[in-house]
Amino acid sequence: MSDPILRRIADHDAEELEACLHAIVELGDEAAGGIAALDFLPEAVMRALAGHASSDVRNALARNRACSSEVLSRLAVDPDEWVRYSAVRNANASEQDRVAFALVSSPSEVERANQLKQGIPPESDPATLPEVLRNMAEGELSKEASHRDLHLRSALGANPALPEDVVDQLVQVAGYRWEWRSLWGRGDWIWPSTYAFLSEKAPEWLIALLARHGHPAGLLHRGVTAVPSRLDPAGALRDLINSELLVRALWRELALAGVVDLVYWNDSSEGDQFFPRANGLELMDSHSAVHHIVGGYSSTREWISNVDSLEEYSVFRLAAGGFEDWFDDHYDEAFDDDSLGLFALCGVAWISEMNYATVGWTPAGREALEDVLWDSMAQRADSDDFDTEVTVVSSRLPAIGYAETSDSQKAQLTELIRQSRRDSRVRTWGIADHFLMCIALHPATPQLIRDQLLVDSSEDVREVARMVMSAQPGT
Amino acid sequence: MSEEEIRLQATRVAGLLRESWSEELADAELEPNAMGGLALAEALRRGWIEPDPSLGPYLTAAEEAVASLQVDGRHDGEADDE
Repeated sequence: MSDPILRRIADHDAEELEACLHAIVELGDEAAGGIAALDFLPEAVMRALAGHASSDVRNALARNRACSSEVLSRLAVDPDEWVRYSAVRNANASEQDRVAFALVSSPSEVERANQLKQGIPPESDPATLPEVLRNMAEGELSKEASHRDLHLRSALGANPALPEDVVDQLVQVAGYRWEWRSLWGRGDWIWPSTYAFLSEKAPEWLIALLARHGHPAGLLHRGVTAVPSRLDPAGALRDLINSELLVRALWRELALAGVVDLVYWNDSSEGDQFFPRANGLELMDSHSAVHHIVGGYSSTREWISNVDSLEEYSVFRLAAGGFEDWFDDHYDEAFDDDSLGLFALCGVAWISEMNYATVGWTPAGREALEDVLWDSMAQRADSDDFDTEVTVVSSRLPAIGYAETSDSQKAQLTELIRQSRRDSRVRTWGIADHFLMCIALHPATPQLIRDQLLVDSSEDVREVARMVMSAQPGT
Repeated sequence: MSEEEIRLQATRVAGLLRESWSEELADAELEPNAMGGLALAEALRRGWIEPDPSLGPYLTAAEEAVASLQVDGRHDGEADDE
């Protein structure tokens, strides 16, 4: 796990780094686990983490290739079986560590560890040579689309050892959410230092220090002085998206200002989708990569409250989705006029949704949809597939936002997003475009930034900026 | 295919569907386009949707599928009689 901000602090002042790492570890087990996975760790911090109360944290350390041999030896005899497994599977484990592991483990535990060791396929193993991964990916890409293996592509896409130029090729053919997520994550999710911005307990000095060293979350934190970061802009944007700080800042405020509605679709088949919808504006394509990467399921979105409901479109979507199995799902019902009517409605929904055929409903048809289909689907649909009514509630991170940041922070954020288009994922999937449209729509965006967005390289962004300008009085 | 022709075809297919609306149809495992065509025919018969000419291929798929079911059914019946 890399962290360019902590790396900068390390290059600048070793004592400051240690203070910083200890402070982040104190924020909770998840933050401590992030630190334990860092690819550079002072020995004193490693030793402290080896004695951490959480086995997840010790396990993260045992898996870390930067873990010292002294600490690995200690973890090879850890009281937790999984920590011991991880320690002896670490490429830096010595023969002595393996012997020590075998001495403190039962024969069945030793056998399990050996099986696990053999069980990592090369496409998923970060230790596989980059050129081997390249050959596997190019072999896959040379096949006809219908013969390609989605699971193989997803595993390769997630492997951090896959060369970047091959990643770009996989991005071009990616068409499913597992692939999008794999290619987007590439092994790293959020930087360990970002936990400081996700915690209510983080001390002010820590936030100020990280912002001073260019942490992108400093651009969304009220009251800190953020300095231009000179980081890889796509990496910085990825961190802001994966930590959900950018969504929390922009979508939350846009919803509170009444500029967008927030929509949450439960979907047990395609994956949950959470996205903003503005009247008459397409802020992102539905069922697209940006939908799944920016929204999707999250267990940490405490700033919204969801209540199950079923919107008209979803009734239709669910009816269409179940049509091919209609007879299996209705096997215990009478073949009467009512069931024939329901069959007709579900079939028309299927043709309209799955085949994009034009179906014009008559007033009688609309009445039937409401009277027959709605009731039937409400009774049958899995609640995992229901929509939810989204209400914005208070955020546990009140300092994170957009409106109350300085003009300088807003300008830096906009520039970071624009620059991130150099990354094929951000560019191809329209991720930067989406957030620039959100910035254009935000009532607190300074005029100077709107002027820049009026000449943005994306027609969609220019269009939204123009629309906002024309709606403002006096323009 | 005109709207009128769609209406006529839908009436024919809906008639076939009503004749075969039973467990037998459920067991027939029709391919999805044919199933969709049956559903369309019934929706058109009930006046729930407009007779758009682009729907013709689904109705044709349904008509062919149900007709072949009935032919198969007759053959099975003949075999049983023997």
